[in-house]
Amino acid sequence: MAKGVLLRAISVILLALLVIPITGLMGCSGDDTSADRIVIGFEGDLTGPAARAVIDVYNGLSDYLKMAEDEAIFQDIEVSLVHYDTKTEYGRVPAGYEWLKTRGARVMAVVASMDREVLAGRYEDDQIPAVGTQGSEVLQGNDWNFSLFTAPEAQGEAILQWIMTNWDYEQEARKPRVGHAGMTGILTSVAYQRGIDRFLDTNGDKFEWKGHKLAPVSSATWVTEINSLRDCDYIVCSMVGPGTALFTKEVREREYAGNLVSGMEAFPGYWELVKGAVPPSSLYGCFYAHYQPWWNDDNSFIADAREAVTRYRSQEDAEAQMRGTGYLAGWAWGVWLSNAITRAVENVGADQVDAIAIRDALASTDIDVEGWGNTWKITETNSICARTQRVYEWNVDDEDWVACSDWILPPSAVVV
Amino acid sequence: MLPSGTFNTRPEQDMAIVRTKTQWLLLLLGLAFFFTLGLYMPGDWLVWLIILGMYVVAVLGLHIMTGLCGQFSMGQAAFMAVGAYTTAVLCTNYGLSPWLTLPISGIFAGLVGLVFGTPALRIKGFYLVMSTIAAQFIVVWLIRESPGIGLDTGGVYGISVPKITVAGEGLDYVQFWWLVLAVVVVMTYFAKNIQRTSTGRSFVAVRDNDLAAEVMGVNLFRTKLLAFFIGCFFAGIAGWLWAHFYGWITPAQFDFRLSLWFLGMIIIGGMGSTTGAIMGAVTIRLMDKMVDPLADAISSAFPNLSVQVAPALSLIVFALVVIFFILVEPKGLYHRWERIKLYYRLHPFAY
Repeated sequence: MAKGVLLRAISVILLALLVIPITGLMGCSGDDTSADRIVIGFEGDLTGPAARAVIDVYNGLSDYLKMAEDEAIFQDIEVSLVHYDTKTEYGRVPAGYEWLKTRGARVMAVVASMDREVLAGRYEDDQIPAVGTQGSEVLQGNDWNFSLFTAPEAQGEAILQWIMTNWDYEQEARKPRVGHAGMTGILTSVAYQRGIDRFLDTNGDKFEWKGHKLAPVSSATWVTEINSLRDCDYIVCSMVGPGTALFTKEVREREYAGNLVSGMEAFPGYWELVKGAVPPSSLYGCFYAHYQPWWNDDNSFIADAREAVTRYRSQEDAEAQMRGTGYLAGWAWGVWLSNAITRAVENVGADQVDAIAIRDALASTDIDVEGWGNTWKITETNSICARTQRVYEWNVDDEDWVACSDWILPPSAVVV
Repeated sequence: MLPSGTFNTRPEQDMAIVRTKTQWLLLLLGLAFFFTLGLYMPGDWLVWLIILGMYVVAVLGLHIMTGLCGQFSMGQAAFMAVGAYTTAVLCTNYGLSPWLTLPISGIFAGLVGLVFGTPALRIKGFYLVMSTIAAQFIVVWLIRESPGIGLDTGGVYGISVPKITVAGEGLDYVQFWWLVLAVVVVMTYFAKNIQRTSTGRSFVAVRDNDLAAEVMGVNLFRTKLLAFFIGCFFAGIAGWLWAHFYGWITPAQFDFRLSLWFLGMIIIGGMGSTTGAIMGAVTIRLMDKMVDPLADAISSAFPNLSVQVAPALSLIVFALVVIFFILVEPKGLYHRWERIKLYYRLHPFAY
């Protein structure tokens, strides 16, 4: 009897929880569209496998908009952020886009470049612009897609370019031995491979190339790859997730004393995992290339982000955000979008700002952001803001990343 | 059990799927309802409905393979990928019309299913599950690495798929929904009907006891392979719809999680029933959809907690509902529905 009552009670509670949202289906929830209210639709994985990195980006963007509201950056308009969790599930991607549209989104902020590739035709049909963090070579030339960073292929190129510039050919009297360790079937590794091969096509004589060694995603050991790359002066790392920590731990345990270089996807995204798995003294010779400044840089971009993260986040959360790059990417999105929205308002008036006006403003982006390597300039042939990258080295004593190169412009990022 | 006052007087009546005038009326009203649904549904719900339709087709295939014939498969998403990539490659690289690739996608997925279904003659149960999991990974790996062997599938980057056109015009969401609805109706009719044929009965005989079925004269090899072919044919058709709706497909879209969801759908709906398979697909997708506005409402109420709490809560609600169904109605929703119907027809008597 008691069991029956309990089951009925649970059923009623669960049904109630499911029935409440039906108001949305009936149209009772309304949408957030009004002439002077601009909704940014954020679509990304907030609870799935990529959530760890995506939430930081969301936090950065959301804090920027809070700061913009507090400091009245937007005149005559209100800007709000609505998010949709894709859980890295492709069945949810187009539905999420349509849902954000019904919430009145006039510009989409979509983290995964693959999601934007799936939705590219819809953006064009609906004339809604989309911005992303990582670019995609597939989306180059698409009038409704804009990216903060170049495609990952350019990271592979930038890393080799940095090694080439950094290597003292005269003193060493030989070429640097370089290899690539990554994972099969993940876009990052395949894109790095493509970028590296492209760079080697024109600069192959500058390297003693040891090959691409890709392990399965589920691989628990890297012994084969490490043995193949043991002689390298530099190993380019493109693995993601816990694989990054596993590889770094194993490569040092197997007494590899050379350098490990990654792009923005590997070390910065999973450095806490790496630090948890590898003794601090073994973290020497770790580098990563990235498009944006780091938290210890002295410039207004970082100063503003630092102020916001301490103002809007708890101390513990702020410290966590300042250990990664995601928050800064979200903050950079905020800078870019607010600039575009402000110009759109100036161009057509607060009550006339629609998706097309925002798209036009994004397409004419021309901003100098302090601390970044190049002017963010969108043109007819370029839909990417940050094209230059800089290499950072992990300082074992200070336990912090330190910039160790000038800004690098890889060949594929050169705008003709 | 038939409704009170309904008697079958001829064999055709006994065989009919739709038996009474009321059932015909309800069927026609239902079809009219679903047909017009696309006209007034909000965009996100329409997209949800289209994707649900694709899932229903794939799950119906799994229902024939697993629910009817007892051949557990955890590679349905991979066979869907075969259908999707068949149409993508043929349309994009060879310029074939999407309409022409519809049957080709289904047949090719069915043939690939035959390859992975062959071990079913020797192995069953857990071992067959492992074999179909292998199919999932092998197929996706082959698609990913195929540029290396000269087949342009775009590898991990993916490949674009042209829109389906009618009289030179690409289908919009409403028209695509009508196409999906038509495919769902045809496939459901086929799935429902096959249960009543000698083939369907051999499937059930093999599922219940393959040794006894063989003693009775059922050709096990043929029957199991046919189940795999039909199940994978359905997946291929679902893949065709998926590819042309998305317009850009990558191997990551057909991951192992999707195969797990398909299996979960027939378990929740009730194994061995066409209606149950549809019920399972609708229930899981509906729950997935329903938690979004709930998460949104919580985000609006608690903006500072929105990202951390709301999506987590949505997952908790979703998981609770799934666990609830599994604990309380392990035979699936269809079984519960049958009991409700029986209760209604017998009321006020208990039996």
